[in-house]
Amino acid sequence: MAFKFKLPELGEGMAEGEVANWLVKEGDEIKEDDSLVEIQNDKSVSELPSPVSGKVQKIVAQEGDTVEIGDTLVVIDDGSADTDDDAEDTAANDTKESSAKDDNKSATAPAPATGSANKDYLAMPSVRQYARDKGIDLSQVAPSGKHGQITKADVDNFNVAAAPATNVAPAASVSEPAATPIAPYKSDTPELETREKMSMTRKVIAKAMSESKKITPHVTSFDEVEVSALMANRKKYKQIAADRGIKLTFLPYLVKAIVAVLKEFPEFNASIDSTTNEIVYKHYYNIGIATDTDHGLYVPNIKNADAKGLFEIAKEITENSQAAYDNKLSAASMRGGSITISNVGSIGGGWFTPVINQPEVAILGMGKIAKEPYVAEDGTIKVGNMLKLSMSYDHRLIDGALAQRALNKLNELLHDPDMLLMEG
Amino acid sequence: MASKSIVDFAKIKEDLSDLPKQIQVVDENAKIIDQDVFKSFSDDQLVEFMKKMVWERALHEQTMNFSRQGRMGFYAPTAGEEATEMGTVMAMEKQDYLLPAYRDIPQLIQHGATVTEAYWWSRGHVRGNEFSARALMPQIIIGAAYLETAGVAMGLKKNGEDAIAFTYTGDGGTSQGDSYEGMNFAGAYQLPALFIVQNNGYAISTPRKKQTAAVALTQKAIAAGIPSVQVDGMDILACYSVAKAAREYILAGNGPVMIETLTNRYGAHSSAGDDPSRYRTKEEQQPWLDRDPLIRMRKILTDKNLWSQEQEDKLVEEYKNSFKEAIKEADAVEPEKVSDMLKRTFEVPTPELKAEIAEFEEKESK
Repeated sequence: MAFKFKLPELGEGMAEGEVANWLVKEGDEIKEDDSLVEIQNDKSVSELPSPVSGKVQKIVAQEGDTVEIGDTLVVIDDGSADTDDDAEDTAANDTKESSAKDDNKSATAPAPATGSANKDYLAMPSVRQYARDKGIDLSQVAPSGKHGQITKADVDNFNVAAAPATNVAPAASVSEPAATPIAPYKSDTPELETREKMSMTRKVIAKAMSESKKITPHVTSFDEVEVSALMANRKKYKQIAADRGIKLTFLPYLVKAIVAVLKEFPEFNASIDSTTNEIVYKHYYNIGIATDTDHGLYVPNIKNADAKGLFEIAKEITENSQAAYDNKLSAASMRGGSITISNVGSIGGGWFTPVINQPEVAILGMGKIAKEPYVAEDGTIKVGNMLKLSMSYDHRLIDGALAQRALNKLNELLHDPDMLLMEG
Repeated sequence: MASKSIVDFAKIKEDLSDLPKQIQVVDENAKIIDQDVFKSFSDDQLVEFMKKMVWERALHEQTMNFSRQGRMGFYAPTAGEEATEMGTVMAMEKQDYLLPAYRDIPQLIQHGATVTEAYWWSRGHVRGNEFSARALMPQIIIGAAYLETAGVAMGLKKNGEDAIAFTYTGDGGTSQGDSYEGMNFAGAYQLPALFIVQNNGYAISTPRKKQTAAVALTQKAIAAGIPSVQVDGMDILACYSVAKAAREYILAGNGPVMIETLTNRYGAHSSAGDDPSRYRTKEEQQPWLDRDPLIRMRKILTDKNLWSQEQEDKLVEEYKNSFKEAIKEADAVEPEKVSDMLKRTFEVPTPELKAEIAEFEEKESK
């Protein structure tokens, strides 16, 4: 009586997608090739047309649900006989995470890793690289993907401590929760609360931030700098910039100053390869700018900022931010960063403790510029324009004294923008 | 010591930057550029050209839908390339041997394969390697069809057949060693081979300009001693006329020819999931959409009172219905067996293969 439309593989290596938008509702009469639903995977959205004509009987996957390839999205009454795998499908919808299904999957998988020193596991190159980066032996990881493929999620869920000493890793032992499971959120007053699925981007941010705090011992140093001269400089060139269609903010100055700091303190333009205990020094200066949009936070970076002038940097910042809003940032524009600037100053606020954008080792937080009293060099109290700076850094690589020296350097450049001409 | 260089490389390099003349019969505003060639076509022929392009666009649209419904295997979108694909294949004869790449499914069908066979190929079914047309299965390895073409052309020459081998690759394919080796071999033996480069501007995400320092891909044939020509790939009359002239020249025993058609792929590289908006801007693509091959033919035919929108809509529906029939037929085939694949490995199976076939037939019978 019904046709089940299942999520097809919409891209190579695609394992799941999120139901972004239903274009039909239950009870609708539809024709073959009518659009049914929009599915979001990573950052592209695909509209799926219906393979059959009929009546929409039941929408199985709701908006916001994450669905795997092969999961039923919708049941359409097209007058055909029920497909034979009905029972399994309806069950799968309610108990996707149940171990029964996992067992079933791995039992039918052609090549789960079982033998000793067995290298015969299935995983995409990106997953293999990911596991190598994390120092995880894939032959120990139980697969949950199609055809016994090990997915990135399997690597994430793999608990090194819980793995048996032998190379035998039965699926059940690994699919159990990790040693310190996160308790589900419970409340006495659920009726006063609402639940909403996290968007794909939100999930990515949540994961990246937790990971960063887990990997890196963060220390944050605070400082402030008097920037009247910098403000005067900006005021002087703002109109010239505007005439060329460029919006000159304080950010380009900060980018320029940071480049000078990185040149003097190469530890801040580095990453740590913990698999080899090596420090990787970068001989390029790609300065990331954290960009807040209504659909999430992105960090495009200004490539080779050392080779660019202030106007050019200002222009690129505006372009990148527009691209972020339009969801048009390329993956490349967000990769290979040296250090990140997080600017909340345009909204307000002072000091805060930014989280490092991995695999970088430092992040500079920029607060607002406020009129405050300060003691000038001649000993008198004056009204100064004070910029609040907060720098978080990776204590594995950078110690407090070094960080303060770098901050001192930054202060010097921002206090006297003429120095930027000399060193920027 | 030497104050004057023995050689002026700068000058030599400069000479290499001369662009070839691009052949056109009708321009993007439907203005007739070459009256003589244009007049050589009858009204019926002109309508036929349009029909083939409408057919290919409909095939693309319907197959794209099938792909999003999970009913296809690999599929490489063809929208935008109707003129170069249909124009060149229509200039060939049935006895000619086609060696397609994966984006050349429409030509394969025009050359005689059925849509159902093409869908089987997409799904990886073994029956998708046996076509009703004189053609090999579409080559997935970039540029490799050029090698096969040289071999097939050698065979045609040795057999003394009144036929040529013709093949396609993209702009990216011309950077592969295979494409040069194929052309060089065909040149060395003066084989009856036509090499077509469909330059659609992008090798997946790599733009043509980053692909090579050569200003035109026609230059790639020069080293192999093969005459080459650049054609407006959005002008079906030019594509057809040049391909036809090339075929006649080759059949007369003059050796191979290379044609570069300048075209554009409107969509993604393939159904494997690339998102063109990440590597290509709308502004950059708009001029190509304005040059759409269907627009100019539609205008010419409408001006001659040979075409109407109703007629086109009706055709599109007819075509799409035929593709829906074709996929039903494709669905109805018995699923592929391992033994079937093994049986197609050698004409006379080796003892090991025989044992393997028996083993799988045993398993499959249960």
